[in-house]
Amino acid sequence: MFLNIDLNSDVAIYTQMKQQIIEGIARKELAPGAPLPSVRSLASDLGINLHTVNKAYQQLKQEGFILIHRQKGVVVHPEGVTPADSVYKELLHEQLRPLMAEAICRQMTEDDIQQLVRLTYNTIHSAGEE
Amino acid sequence: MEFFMLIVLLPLCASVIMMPYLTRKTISFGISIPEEAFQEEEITGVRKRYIKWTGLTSILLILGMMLLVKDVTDADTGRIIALSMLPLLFFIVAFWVYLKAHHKMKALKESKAWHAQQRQYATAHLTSAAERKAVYSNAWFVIPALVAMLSFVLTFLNYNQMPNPLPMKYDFAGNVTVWEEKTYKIVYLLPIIQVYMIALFVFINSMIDRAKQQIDPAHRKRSLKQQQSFRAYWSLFLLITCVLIVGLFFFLQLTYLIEVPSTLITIVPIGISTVIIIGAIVLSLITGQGGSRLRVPDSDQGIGVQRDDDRYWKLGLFYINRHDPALFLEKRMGVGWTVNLGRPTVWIVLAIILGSSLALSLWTMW
Repeated sequence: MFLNIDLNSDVAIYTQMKQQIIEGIARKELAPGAPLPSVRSLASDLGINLHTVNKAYQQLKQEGFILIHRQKGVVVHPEGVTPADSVYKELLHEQLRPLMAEAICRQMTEDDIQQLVRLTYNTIHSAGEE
Repeated sequence: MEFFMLIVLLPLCASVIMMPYLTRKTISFGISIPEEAFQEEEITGVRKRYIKWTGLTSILLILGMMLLVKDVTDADTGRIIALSMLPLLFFIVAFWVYLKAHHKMKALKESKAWHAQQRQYATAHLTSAAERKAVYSNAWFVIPALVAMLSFVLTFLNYNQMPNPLPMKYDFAGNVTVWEEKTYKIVYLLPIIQVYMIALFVFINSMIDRAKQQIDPAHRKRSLKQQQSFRAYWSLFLLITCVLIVGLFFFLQLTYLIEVPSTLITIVPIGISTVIIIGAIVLSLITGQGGSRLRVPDSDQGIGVQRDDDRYWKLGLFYINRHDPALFLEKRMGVGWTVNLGRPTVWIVLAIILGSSLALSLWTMW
């Protein structure tokens, strides 16, 4: 899988990295246990600061997407990602609120939003089965 | 002699003239451009001018060298100096022609604003170090290491049988021009050079492995495959070159131990260096920089262009970027790799290489 950092984007580089790796796992492009490049190697391929890559990896590790071994290096979590629990659902609920609020301000109906959610879900989910 | 001269000069000149076609299409005389712009009229104009002037200089060089080398003897000191100065002069002129083209491209780019129209990306391939590895394992260098070991063993066993004084330099007719008194230092010089060469080649091979993997966001899959093949080809070339060079020094060491026809002593070094030079030039023509000349089917939706990092490339030749953790990366002009002079680690590496080669050249004088 390719990691594409948009250098003109307002989204921070470490956030772009996190989001793309998580989507790679969701699309099954990154299988459980799949090895990832080391911090140094990835930073020099992208030409970005080591700390930026480290920050993305550390956060992915904390959220249970990857494991960082001393010897074996970085791998996608071999047991898969922890399924959603009540804590995660609460967090997702919080994260959706401002997005919904903005959409409502812009006169989107519940149906419009539902449709968009379904479309987004299917785009990610079906991409893995191509 | 004239024949050898032509055989080396022609490909050398060809590689200088062809340079704009060996580098990636996204780099023109050290300036990054979008690939579509490669065929634009002004840019083909800059290339044509470069080819015209380097071509003309090449013709002058070949004619000059041919005239100088004709019936040259070792007594013609003036001629021999001229023979070594002329190629240097050629490279100075070629470099000046390149700089003109570089500045012309810089001005063109400022007037065009290509990069302003497209999104710039940095792209990496997410794989393990093992999967990313395209070079031949350093274990292969056991082959030249065995040859070097044999050199040491033979020298150790036959020290007493070696002639004293030892023949050190030969002229083209195969007559000895420099004799040196036999000492342990002199006798072990060639085996030590062999070990040094192997160490140097192992280092370069590891450097190629670690160099920045440059993926073009407009053709991701293609450029990934191309640069992997590129690394593999050049790694193999290094290995073969290392075996040839170590073999050459082994042969020279052997001339102290057994009677070798003097013509062979002249022909073998020239032959081996010719093979290596021609090999490097032919391989450059096959692969192009970063494998850009290798035919690989393109099956990818482009997403944008590579980042514009021209400001870190001084004269389009020297990369100085403190914020880039990469130590080694592809050259901008030509085929091969260069260093990131913005990293202190690189300064240390360069100092070690320079220092050790200096120490080696002073070895016999201590």
